[in-house]
Amino acid sequence: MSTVLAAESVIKRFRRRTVLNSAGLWAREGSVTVIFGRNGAGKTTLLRVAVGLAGADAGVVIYRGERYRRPRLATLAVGGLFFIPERGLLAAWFTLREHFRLLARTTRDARIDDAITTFGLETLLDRRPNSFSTGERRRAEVGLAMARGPRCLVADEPLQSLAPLDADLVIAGLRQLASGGAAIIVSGHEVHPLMDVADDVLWLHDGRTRALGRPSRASEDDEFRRAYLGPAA
Amino acid sequence: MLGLPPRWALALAARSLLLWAGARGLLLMAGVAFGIPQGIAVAAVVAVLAAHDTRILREGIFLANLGFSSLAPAAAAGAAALLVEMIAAFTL
Repeated sequence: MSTVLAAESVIKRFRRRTVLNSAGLWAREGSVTVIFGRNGAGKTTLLRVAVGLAGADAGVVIYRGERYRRPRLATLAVGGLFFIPERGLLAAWFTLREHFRLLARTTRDARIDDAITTFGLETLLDRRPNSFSTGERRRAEVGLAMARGPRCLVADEPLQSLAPLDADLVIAGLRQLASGGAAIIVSGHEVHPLMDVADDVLWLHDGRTRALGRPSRASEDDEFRRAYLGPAA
Repeated sequence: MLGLPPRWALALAARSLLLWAGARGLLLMAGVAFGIPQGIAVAAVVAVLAAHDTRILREGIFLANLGFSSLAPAAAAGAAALLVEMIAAFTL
């Protein structure tokens, strides 16, 4: 499996605090990589650096073989990357149908009908995103990502605050994209569903990334259990 | 506007326009009522617009995901602000 997206040796400081200290991430073709880390560990910052929404003090982003010191999301998106941020992707003034319409204009072979059916979006199409519940919003966002047919999907905490049924739909969508060859990387704290969908686990701890391997290996890692999963794991 | 579909550009610009005009109006009233120096008033407007720009750029993530320049929403906001400033300069 080839690496589609990688961020390497990323250093990011906020004033005097170093949040990322030679951290990295990668997403491989046809697989789901999950990145765990405690609140404030820098997961969101690392993802935003990787997709070009935040600058880093040092480090490099490699997308489909191209190296970028400071990529731009629009450039990566032309190459097939899609990013779902933690705090919402959708524009408040436009209905979901208008989002899909714009996506259709800019995407060759957009799979809009499939996405609408898979994520049960029919009843949301003529509503504006600010009237969506958290679960509806997330389903809509993953539906848009699926309709776009990305080569690489980066999603920041896609399962946050979701009901189990909505989380299952989102997980199924991620798995479906990966089985179609997309490289997926997601962050989150929902250990069980994310471990179930993961092919590869990363752990962001003390500003660095540790590659824990497959979920079965990750859950046996003593330090990961002690410092992240906690005693109940 | 940098390849942004007109309806989207107009919507973003209209929103910026409303906010900028609102902030400008409030500050003018505050300035008249409390004698706030012009420099502080301008700084406050700039701060409000900067916060709003951040929000617009966040919403622009959807557009950037489709390959539109992430500068497009900022450009829309900037154009709207400029328009209000020009109107204000001629009418106040």
